[in-house]
Amino acid sequence: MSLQQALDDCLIDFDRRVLVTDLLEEYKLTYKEAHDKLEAHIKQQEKSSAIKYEKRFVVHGTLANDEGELYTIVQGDDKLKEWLSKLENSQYHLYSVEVAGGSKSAAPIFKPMQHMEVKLAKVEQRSGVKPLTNGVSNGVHEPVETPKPANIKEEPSKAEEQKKTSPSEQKGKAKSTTTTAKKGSIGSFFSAAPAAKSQPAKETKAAAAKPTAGSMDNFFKKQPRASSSQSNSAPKEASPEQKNNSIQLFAEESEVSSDEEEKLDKLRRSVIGSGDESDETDAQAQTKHRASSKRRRIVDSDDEEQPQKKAEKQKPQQEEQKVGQAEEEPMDVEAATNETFLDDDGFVITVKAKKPKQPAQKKASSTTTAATAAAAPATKKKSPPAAGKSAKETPKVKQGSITSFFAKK
Amino acid sequence: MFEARLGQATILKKILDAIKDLLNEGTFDCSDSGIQLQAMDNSHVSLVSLTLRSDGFDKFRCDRNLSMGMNLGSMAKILKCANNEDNVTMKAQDNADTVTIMFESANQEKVSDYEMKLMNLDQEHLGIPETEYSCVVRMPAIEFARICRDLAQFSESVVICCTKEGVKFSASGDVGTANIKLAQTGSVDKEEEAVTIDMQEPVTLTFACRYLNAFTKATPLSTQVQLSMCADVPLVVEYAIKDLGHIRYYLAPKIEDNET
Repeated sequence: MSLQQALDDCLIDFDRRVLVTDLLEEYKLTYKEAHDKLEAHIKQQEKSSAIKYEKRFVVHGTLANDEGELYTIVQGDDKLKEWLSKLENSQYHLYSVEVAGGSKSAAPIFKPMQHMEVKLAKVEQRSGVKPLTNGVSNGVHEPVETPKPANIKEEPSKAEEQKKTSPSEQKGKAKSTTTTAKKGSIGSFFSAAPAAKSQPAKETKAAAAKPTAGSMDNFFKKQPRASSSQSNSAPKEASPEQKNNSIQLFAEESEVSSDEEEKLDKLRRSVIGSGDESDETDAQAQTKHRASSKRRRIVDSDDEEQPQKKAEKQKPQQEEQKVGQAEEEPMDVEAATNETFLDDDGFVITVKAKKPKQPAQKKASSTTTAATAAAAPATKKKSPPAAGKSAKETPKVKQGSITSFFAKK
Repeated sequence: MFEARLGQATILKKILDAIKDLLNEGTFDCSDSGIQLQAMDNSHVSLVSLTLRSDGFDKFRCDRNLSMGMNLGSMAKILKCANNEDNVTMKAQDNADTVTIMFESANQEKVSDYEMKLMNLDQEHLGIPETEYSCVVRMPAIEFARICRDLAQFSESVVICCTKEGVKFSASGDVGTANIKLAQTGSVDKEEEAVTIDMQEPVTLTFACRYLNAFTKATPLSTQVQLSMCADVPLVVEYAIKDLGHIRYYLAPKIEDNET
C-alpha cells in the first residue's frame, strides 16, 4: 500500500505523533516523496476540515560558539526559525506530525530509523534499485550510524526467525489444503484414503511444477545453499573482526542474484496460487478414486484387516510428517527470501507489513496443524466403524457359476 | 424341412430383445414339440431357457430335429425389419446352413424375406433338475423391473429375502441402503397386479443386479413374473409367453467366500 493511499484511506492516525522516519520505513519512500505527500495531505486536511497539525522538525547545525554540532527537535515554525537563527550551517527537515492538541502519546526522544539500511540492501539485491533513492539522504539517521552495525547484526537473526516461521505457515497452508480436501470428501471415509492423502502432495508439486518445471529444481537446490550461506553469515558476524563489516554482509546476501530471487518470488506466488487448483484437482482425484475405493472396501471388508489398514493409514501420515519436517528448513528459506520484494507497482513489500500478521499466522498454522492433527484421529475414529458397518452389511460374497449348480447333459 | 409361422412378429421381436443382451449367440433346437433354446451367458453365471411350444404357432412343421445356431444380434436386426402386425415365418431345409425369415403384412400385400447364415455352435446343454422351491413369488413384471432398476443404483448386489410377511429386496452401497418390501396382496381386481407368495420356508439369497436387470428385458412378454427361490439353488425368473411357452432365466446366487 502506498503512503498516498494510506493517507487517503485515513489509515494513519495523526492523533498520535506520526514520525516521518516511520513513514519512510513503512512505505519505503524517499524522504522527499514522503515529505511532499505528507505536506500535501496536511494542507488539504487543514483546508477542508480545519484541523490544525503540529509539526516538529529536526534541526542540525553547529553552535555559534563552536561548541560542536547539534541535533535537536523543535516544535512549530516559530521555534524552528528561532533555532535556525541560533545555529550556523543549519538545516532542518520535517520530523513528525500530529493533530494539534490531540496527541495521546508523544515520541519522547528522537527516534532514528533502524532497519532502513538493511532493507535497502535487500531491495538493491532484488530489484537493482539504488538505495540512495530511498531516503538515506535525509540526514536524519546519520548520527546514529554507530549503532547501525548492531542493528544489522540483529537483522539476519530476525530474518532467520522469519525464515523459520513463514515456511511453517506455508507448510500449515499446504497441510490445511490437504486436510480440507480430506474433510470435504467422502473418499476419506473409505479405504482409498491413504492413496488420496499421498495424491494431494503430488498434485501440489505437479501443479507447482507446471508453470516453471525447470526452475523448480533450481528452487529446491538453491534454497539450502541460500540457507547455508545465511546460516554461515551468522557465525561470521559473531566473530569480532567482522562484526561491523556490513559490506561483507551485503556481499554475502548478494550472492543470490536479484534476478534469481525474483524468479523465486514468482515461483512462490505460483506455488501458493496453485493451492486452490490443487484443492480442486484433489477433489477431482478423490471422486475418481471413489469407484476404486468402493471395490477396495468390499474386498478389504474383513474386520481383521482393519488394524492393518489403520497401520497403513498411519504410515503414510507419519511419512508425511517426516517429509514435512525434512522440508521445513528449505521451506523456511523460501518464505524468508520472499519477505521483501518489489510490488507490481514498483513498491517494496516488506517484512514489516507482515510482521504483525506472522505470529497470528504462526498461531493459525499451528492451530491448523493442531486441527489437522485433531481431524486426523477423528477421521480415523469415524472410518473404522463405517468400514465395520460395510463389512457387516456387505459380507464377502463371490458370484457363483451356474455350472456348479447344473450338470452337463 | 422346418417351418414355423407366428401370427405376430412382435412376439418374436420381444423374445429376441429379451435374450440378446445376455447371449450373443444361441442354438434353436427345433423338434416336433416346438423350439427350445438353452444357453449360458458368457460369464456362465446365468442361463436362459426358452421354450416355444409347437401348438402356440399358427403353423408348425418340423420333419427332423434341427439345431439352428444363430447370431442373435443379427436375428434381432432382421426382426426389426418387420412390422409388429406382420406374420413371421421361419423356414429351413434339413441340414441347411441358412434360415429364411419371411414377413408378410396382414393384407398380404407386402412380403419380405431375409436369409440368415446359420452357425455351428458347440454349446453345452445343462441338465436342470426338477426342484421344489422354498419360495415362489409372483408379482407384476413391471414392478420387478422397477425394483431391479432402482436397487441397481445402490449396489451391485440385491438381497432377496422372502418371509411370511412378504418379499424384501434390499441393496446396500456407498450411497446408503435401500429396502423395498412387497406384501402379499389380499384381493386385487386385476390379476396381473397381484403379488402372491408361496412359501415353504424363508429364504434369503443375494444376486447380482446386473443379471436381474438383463432378465427384466423380458418384461414386455408378460404381465407377471415368477421368482422361484431355494437356498443354495439358482433363482428362477420366469416370464410366461402367452399361449406359446415361457422364458426362464436361471441366476446363480452370490455365495459367501469362505476361502479368504
